[in-house]
Amino acid sequence: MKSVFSTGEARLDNRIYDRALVKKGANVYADFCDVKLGPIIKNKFTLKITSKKNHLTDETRIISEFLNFILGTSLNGHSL
Amino acid sequence: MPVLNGVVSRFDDEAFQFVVNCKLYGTGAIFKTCYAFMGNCYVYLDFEDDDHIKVIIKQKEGKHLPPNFAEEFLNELVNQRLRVDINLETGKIREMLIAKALFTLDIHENSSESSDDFNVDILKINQLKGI
Repeated sequence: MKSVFSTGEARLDNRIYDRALVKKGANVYADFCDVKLGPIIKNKFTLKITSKKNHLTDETRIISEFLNFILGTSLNGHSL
Repeated sequence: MPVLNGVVSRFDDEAFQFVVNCKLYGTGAIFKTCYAFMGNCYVYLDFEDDDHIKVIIKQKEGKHLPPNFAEEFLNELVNQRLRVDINLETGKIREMLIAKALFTLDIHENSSESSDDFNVDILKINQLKGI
């Protein structure tokens, strides 16, 4: 079984990943990937990352970097 | 590693998965631990249930992870938890010391003898030297 870093599909918890920050993060990575966010239901929302056609060879890396980026920004909001 | 059975598992793409008890370590310590590893790893977090956080970590390309990475991660969790505890025990004293130091600094800066001119001898060093 492959991890979230390979599939690009994840269920995020709004208590860890702030959905508003994830949306902003999607704009930052707009040149590299498309990000679809689902609505928040019981603190959870779905995330689907697909890399742009010209970055398909780097898809795993783009997904991983994006997940790290949104976690970093969200954790900073938790006053580390 | 029988001790780690049930705590750590591996994915096909070499990612590690830890299930960490929030009540034991605290979410703050778990977040700090993950943040400490984000330079060398990709990290994903999710609440498994109210008492457990699932941590998935994968090594970044070109970054080196120690062979006993799982144990190092678990040690860092204890380390961060201890830091939280020490902060709870001594945080107020530290805040008071800093507040006192800053308050004293403020008085010196506002005193009439205070000056940016280096020729003004605030500490009267010249008198001590007999100059």
